[in-house]
Amino acid sequence: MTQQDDNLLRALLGPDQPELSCEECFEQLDRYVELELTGSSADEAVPGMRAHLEGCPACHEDHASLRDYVRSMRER
Amino acid sequence: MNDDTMGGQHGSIAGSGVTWREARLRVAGFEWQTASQLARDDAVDLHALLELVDRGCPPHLAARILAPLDSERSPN
Amino acid sequence: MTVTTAGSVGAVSEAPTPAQAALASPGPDAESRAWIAALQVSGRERDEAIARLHELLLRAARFEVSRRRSMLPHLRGDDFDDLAMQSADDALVAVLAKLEDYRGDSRFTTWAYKFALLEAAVKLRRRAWQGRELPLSPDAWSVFPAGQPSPEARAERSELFSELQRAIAKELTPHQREVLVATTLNGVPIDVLAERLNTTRGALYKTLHDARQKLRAHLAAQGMSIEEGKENA
Repeated sequence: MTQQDDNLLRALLGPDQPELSCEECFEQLDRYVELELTGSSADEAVPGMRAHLEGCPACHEDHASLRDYVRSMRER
Repeated sequence: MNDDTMGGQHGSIAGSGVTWREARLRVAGFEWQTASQLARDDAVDLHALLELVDRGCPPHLAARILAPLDSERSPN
Repeated sequence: MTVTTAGSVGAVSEAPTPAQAALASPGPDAESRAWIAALQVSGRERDEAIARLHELLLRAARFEVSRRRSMLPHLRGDDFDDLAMQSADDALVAVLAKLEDYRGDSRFTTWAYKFALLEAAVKLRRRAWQGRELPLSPDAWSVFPAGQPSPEARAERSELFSELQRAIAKELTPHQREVLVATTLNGVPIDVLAERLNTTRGALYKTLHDARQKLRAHLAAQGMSIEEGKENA
């Protein structure tokens, strides 16, 4: 199966694990990002977050933005 | 609004959000006057409306259930 | 906070595992406590804190606008500055309104940044789709794959995607189909669709989740394993 096929399947079928809602994702995003940036087990601390970020393109983008911005601020 | 301006069942509607909402409601079975009123009312959650119709609620009844309580604005 | 059994969206409370308990936040640091204190008093100290907060939010909003400029090639520099300022303004209102919700699970600044970044991202996505047409029906079937290297792999994949097309057409309600196709096949951002429907991102995502569950159930009922399909391709 090509990568394109795989991406299409993922988009159509979504994650196969329990996931947070968009509201819960936003609520927990700051905590999750800080755990990620300190090398802690973010996925264990916030179960369902990773699955939702894989299933929701908008939340995926928001997570990337917050992670990248906080990282850039700390590297100054 | 007639089917020509809707671009047919398998077309797409360009232009303002109101036009798109009107067309979406027409496709879901709302008669044109109700669709037009609902499309212009920012207080109406069209997603909730369409979910009600999905569950078998007749469009005109769904509109009455979810219309704002202000009777002047409620569609018939 | 943990999640329910497989296939659900939205969490229910269960007792935290020892590992989760170990990762629990120790509470806000000194700088964060200072922010909260300054924003909760009245008078000049609060006004100055608000001004500093707005500056932080504006910087975050500019970061987000800058990294997404390519989404809006027709906009000028002034337009981007306006978007960043509006985002910072709206984020400031949201932060001040939700100050009591800050629990100290992260630094106050990280918590506040997410409001600015979200406001900017949503505004940019909506601006990028302003006036663009949203297809009303699944005329995006062309994105379903057509060719594969080997005849056997082609047959496997073809059957899987044919079954998916069938499920989308037959198993989903009309609105589920519209939401699924718009967001996954036609690339409509979920908050753009939410704005068009006067609803929330979360409400739409729940519908998308339900649609996806139906597709998975349909494939399982046909004895199709997505993982096997991938391995055999």
